[in-house]
Amino acid sequence: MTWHRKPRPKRAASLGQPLDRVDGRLKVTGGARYAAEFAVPNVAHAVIVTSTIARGRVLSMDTSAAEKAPGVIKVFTPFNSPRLPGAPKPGPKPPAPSGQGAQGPAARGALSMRVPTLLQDDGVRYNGQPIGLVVADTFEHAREAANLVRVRYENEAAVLDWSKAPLNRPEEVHPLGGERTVTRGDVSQGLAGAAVTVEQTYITPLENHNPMEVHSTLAQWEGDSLTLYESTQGITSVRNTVARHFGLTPDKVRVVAYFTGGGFGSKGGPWSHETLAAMAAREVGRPVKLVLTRRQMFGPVGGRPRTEQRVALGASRDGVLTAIRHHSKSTTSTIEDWVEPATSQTRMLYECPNVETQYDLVRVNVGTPTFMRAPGESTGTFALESAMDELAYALKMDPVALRLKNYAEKDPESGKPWSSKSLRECYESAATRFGWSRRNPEPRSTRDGRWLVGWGMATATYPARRAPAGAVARMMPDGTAWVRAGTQEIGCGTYTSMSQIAADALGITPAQVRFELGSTDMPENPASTGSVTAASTGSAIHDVAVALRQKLIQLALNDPQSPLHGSIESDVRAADGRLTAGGLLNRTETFAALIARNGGQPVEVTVASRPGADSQQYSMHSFGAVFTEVRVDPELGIVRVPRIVTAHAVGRILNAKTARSQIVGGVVWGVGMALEEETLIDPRTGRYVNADLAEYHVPVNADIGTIDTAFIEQVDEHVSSVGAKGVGEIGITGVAASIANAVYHATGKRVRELPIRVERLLT
Amino acid sequence: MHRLSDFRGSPVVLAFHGAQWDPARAEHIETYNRLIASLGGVAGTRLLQIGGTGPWRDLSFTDASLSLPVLAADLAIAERYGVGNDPAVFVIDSTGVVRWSQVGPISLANPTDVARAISVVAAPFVDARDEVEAPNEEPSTGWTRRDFVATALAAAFALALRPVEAHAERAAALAPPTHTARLVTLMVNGRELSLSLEPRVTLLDALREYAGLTGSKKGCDHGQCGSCTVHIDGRRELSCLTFAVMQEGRRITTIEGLATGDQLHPMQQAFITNDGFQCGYCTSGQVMSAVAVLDEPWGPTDDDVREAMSGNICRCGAYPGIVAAVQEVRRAQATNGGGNRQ
Amino acid sequence: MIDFEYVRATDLASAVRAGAAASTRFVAGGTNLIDLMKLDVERPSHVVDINDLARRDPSLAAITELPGGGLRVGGLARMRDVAWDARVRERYPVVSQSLLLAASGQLRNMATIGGNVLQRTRCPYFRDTAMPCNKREPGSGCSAIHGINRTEAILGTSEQCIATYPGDLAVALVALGATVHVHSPSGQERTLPFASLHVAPGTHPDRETTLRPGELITAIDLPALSAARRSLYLKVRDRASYAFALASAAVAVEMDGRTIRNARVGLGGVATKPWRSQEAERLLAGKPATEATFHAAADAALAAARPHRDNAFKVTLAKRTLVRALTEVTA
Repeated sequence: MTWHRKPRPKRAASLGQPLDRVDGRLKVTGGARYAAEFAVPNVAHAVIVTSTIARGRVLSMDTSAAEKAPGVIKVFTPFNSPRLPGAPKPGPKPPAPSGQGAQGPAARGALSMRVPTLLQDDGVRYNGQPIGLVVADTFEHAREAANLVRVRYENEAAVLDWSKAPLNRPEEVHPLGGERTVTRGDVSQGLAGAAVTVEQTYITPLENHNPMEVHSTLAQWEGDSLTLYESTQGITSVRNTVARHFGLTPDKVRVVAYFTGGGFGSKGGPWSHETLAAMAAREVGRPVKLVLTRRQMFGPVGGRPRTEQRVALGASRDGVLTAIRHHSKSTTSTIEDWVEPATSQTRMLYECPNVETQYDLVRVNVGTPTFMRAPGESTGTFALESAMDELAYALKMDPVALRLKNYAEKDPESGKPWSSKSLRECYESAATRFGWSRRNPEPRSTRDGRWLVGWGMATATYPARRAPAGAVARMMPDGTAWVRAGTQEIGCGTYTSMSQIAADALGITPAQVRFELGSTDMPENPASTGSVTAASTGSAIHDVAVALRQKLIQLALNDPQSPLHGSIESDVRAADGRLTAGGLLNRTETFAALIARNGGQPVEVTVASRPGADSQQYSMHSFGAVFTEVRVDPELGIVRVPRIVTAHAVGRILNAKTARSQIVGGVVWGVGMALEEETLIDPRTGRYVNADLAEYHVPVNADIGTIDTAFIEQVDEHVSSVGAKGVGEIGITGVAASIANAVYHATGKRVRELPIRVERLLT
Repeated sequence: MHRLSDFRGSPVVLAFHGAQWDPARAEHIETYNRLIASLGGVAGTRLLQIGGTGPWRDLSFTDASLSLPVLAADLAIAERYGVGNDPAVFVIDSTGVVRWSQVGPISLANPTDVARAISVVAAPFVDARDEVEAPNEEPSTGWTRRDFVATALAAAFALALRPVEAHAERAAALAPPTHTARLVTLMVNGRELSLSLEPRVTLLDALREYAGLTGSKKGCDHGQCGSCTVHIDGRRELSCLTFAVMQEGRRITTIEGLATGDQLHPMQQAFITNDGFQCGYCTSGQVMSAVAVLDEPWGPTDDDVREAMSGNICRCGAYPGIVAAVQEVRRAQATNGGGNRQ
Repeated sequence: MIDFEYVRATDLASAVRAGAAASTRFVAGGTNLIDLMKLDVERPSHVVDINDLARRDPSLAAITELPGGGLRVGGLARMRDVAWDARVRERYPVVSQSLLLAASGQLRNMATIGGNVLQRTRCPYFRDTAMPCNKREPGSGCSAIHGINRTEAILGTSEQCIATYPGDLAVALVALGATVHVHSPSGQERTLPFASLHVAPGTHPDRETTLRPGELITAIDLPALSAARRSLYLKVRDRASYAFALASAAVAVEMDGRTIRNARVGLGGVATKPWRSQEAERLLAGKPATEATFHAAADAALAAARPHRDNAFKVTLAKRTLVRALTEVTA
């Protein structure tokens, strides 16, 4: 296998280095402030009251006992809540314009089409839906009173059996992730002409994000201006939406989120509690803090829908794909349509002339689903990469060889060249480090004592998207730089990587950069979703720092008293906190000296950054490879994953430490997805049955073995000026398939429904 | 630039914001400012802001947005108040006596507590019932600037040692009107906290909502995630599953009590170095758990650490970094002769 | 959670007298009670804190030798201390393992032996006051029987209730034939076999133990059982740690070469109360330690199993778990 080396990018001073997180100290000392932790005087506490039926109407709510309970200030119901001028109406919406994948205009449309439950009507559409709010002087008083509210319902038969619920008619399907049906070539012919075909159904269950920090809002009014301390991935989305609900202009609402305790897609935009907290605060005349319970994290704030994906693959005897069909049916609520775009990668991942993908929706009385870490690619790669593995076995072909046989040199759907790919290098790197060449291809051939040992692999992929972003930077009189962008820190390391970008462009150290985020006072940036931050905000930070550098250079060149006066601009470099022309010792001065001589005031620049023409000319995706070893105890059905080896090509690595952590985090999510996670709904009542962290299983420390990661060197300036493509979500893609494939290799048993539970392996 | 003496005759709130970077600090200062403005009728109360060490003195990007007299980047004032690098707040009455203070450890004092203290000093005639005992207080006549500084220094130290005792009675007067609320005394991070609590208030909520110690986190409130882990008499326990009143007489250590001044505990440093966190929300519990694990009789392998730490869930998946951090500290302790010393 | 009166007991006598009052609960570690109080499943108007009782009487938290070779474990001893006690590890490994495989490090530091054996079911319908539950409210119905019942019991069930007893330690204790010491409000001490402490739901699922109001477990005696030294606890669950048992087995054997002289068998995760299987024990006594013997014993242990829609796999899993445990303990 040849090993193509890309030319080494110019090594910048701190970019790429594994710098310790600049917010590390705050986090390990308990000093990082999350939404519910801002000490605002006179705060009242709110607790949400939720429905106990799945479908119907609230006929009445007896709040008399609740109102009399100690410390209670007010109880809000659908019958006494103020009308919000901008609250959206429930019910499926007409299709939005089609877009380029889950973050395109259609997705933005989906987010702004989100229908929260704001006590504006008496309808109940899922069990656990917010139908009331109790406000009291303490959390304990609010919690007790919430339990005293007595609700009378008109109960209707809920749609809960997704195997029997009707499929949405095509014109009502919301086209996230592309059109409802996409076809190229002739799949039927391709399958008919195939030497070998595989056709199977793969199922992924309902899941819930369960970030460690529950959704929280602290709402404070001053006159007609509102401040929200919010746990969110999208301060701008929260601001715009809440403002709209109240009929306010956005400048009247300020959203603050300096630290968010995880989101994974559940906090990409507001749900119900933000507006409810603000409404309560306005009515009671006090700041209101509303913190969801862990149970309320199931239903009211999104989750991953259930998917049932039928994949058909056809190939020639030597493994060339002749046809791919991928139909995905997923669940949504009856409040709004939301499609898990599970077929997205199928159209671009492999070379194949005949491809057909299609979405269908099933509307069920559960909470509305939403983006959940790699929405589409995580569920879709489970189906596609399992099917590819089954095809490899049917062909008696090495799974890696099968991928390479169908390697797409350019985007097979659009025909556009890749902005960058390096997938072959990923396969090679991961396979070598894993020891894949020692694999005995025969299933159930390898044992270690009582354990069956299995090896599996899969391709990983995620789109590299970029959104418009803005930033402002100031060089301070003391030679330090102050940079601001209204983005979010959800754990990706944004505070740190942005400091590094700015530091390098200005020729100072990251410790001399103060990077701020998290307030809608700052220049607007996209939500921290879709892995867009590195490319979007990173570009803005890069551009603003470069612009600031240029401005300072101009200042020096035009200053007769500056040692650089008269030099040529292209000769000037910024490094070590100074400007130097032509490398000459007599043509240099520090930023501090330059500013001191020129008024002693900070020098400031603002930029707006947006994707350029390259985004139309290139197909932009990240790729990777995942190799997994599992051990299965066949009698007890236990699966352990002692090691996973990955290689990803995600553009320039901004910080080696935090980038690795993003991959590791995604891989851990993949283990959870494969082996543990499933949200259970009572089939009669629609009640979330395992709505806590004891019964909804996410991986614990003992579930995770060694995760060996590597990045293929790559700088993709088509995607972003800083060369990065985003790394937050690709880590989960392919992992569940690699585990299921490894389980097959270990046991000879193919599991096509997640999670791979004990009983699925016992026979 | 102003001098402290310029404000003689007015009550003054002195806020030292310490050397460590904290993006939330601007919110705190803004809250104090709003609070002072909203206390209408409080003649002349000013918020003075003093930078400690470090370059981040001015708090607003747009300098005009906070009407905040900057006292100086003068470390000498910080030293006179015995503050060093810690954040601190002092409420000083119009005669120059420090009536209330809180020094360190992590961030500025709870504005509600500051508001209470301000309302005490702002009353033109101090009601005997509301009077707050300040050690070394003398009749308020004939103050010189030197007297003020000396007394302020003595008072500051005295009050800094027992920051909440000064207004414990006042806190009791503001207790929620139920028959079960009572004064609960908790020993937290070596300091005595007196809080008015109902028995059903968990230790976690007592820390977060009543004591202003938000370092311990609420992830599930049902003992299923470990984010609320604290030490009680040296053992790691879940603060969400015990009532505060049950912990009277016990020695409680929270994440805020782990570092010694500026010096991080080796486990805290190891978490940073090994990237044992991402979003940071489970981190307090992870670190507290990890420190305690090294005092529990676990085996030395990575698998032992994984099992020992499985009561702390990390949804960001930072487990490999967490294990590496624990092992790094364990090896360092073994080299240094064992024991879990800070 | 409703408001309640809190009192910290200083001595055993006053504690049990206070505990006998209506709507009163003891709290020690609080890891089960406070959890359930937050769910409004438990709504005591009085809570008696017994953590300080061991100060007056250290034996309540101590682990002491019994004449004749057993060990007495105080009811207020913490799970963590018992699990890592050298004598328990060496002479009753099944007890130590059952503790270390339960809960988490933090919970084990808090929870007491007495409280642990009294823990309530994890049945999601019991823990959700929005759903009917005969255990919480007799006569209201059982939501699990026709609901999601994957984690529910297959042994000891009734038409009224199929909720699994979730604890691990109790499984070891019932297998070993431990003895429970109880102190009553009347001032009397009584003892009972561990197997008599819990009752199956039958027609009264709201009653889980034979304890009377105000009674406190002061100690549990681990017997001087020759089989105890060669014992182990095996737990199968949905993730590697920090989860309740899908199925578990506590086994203890006394061997004579490759023959099992006698054995003790306890099953967890599959029954409505800590389950000792004398059916299995009878088929092990005097038999060779072979797979065939183990399978026969496992079949007998689960012969009376009554699965429901989602938990039929537990029949197979429980058998195999028992077989594996016997295989390992006799290896």
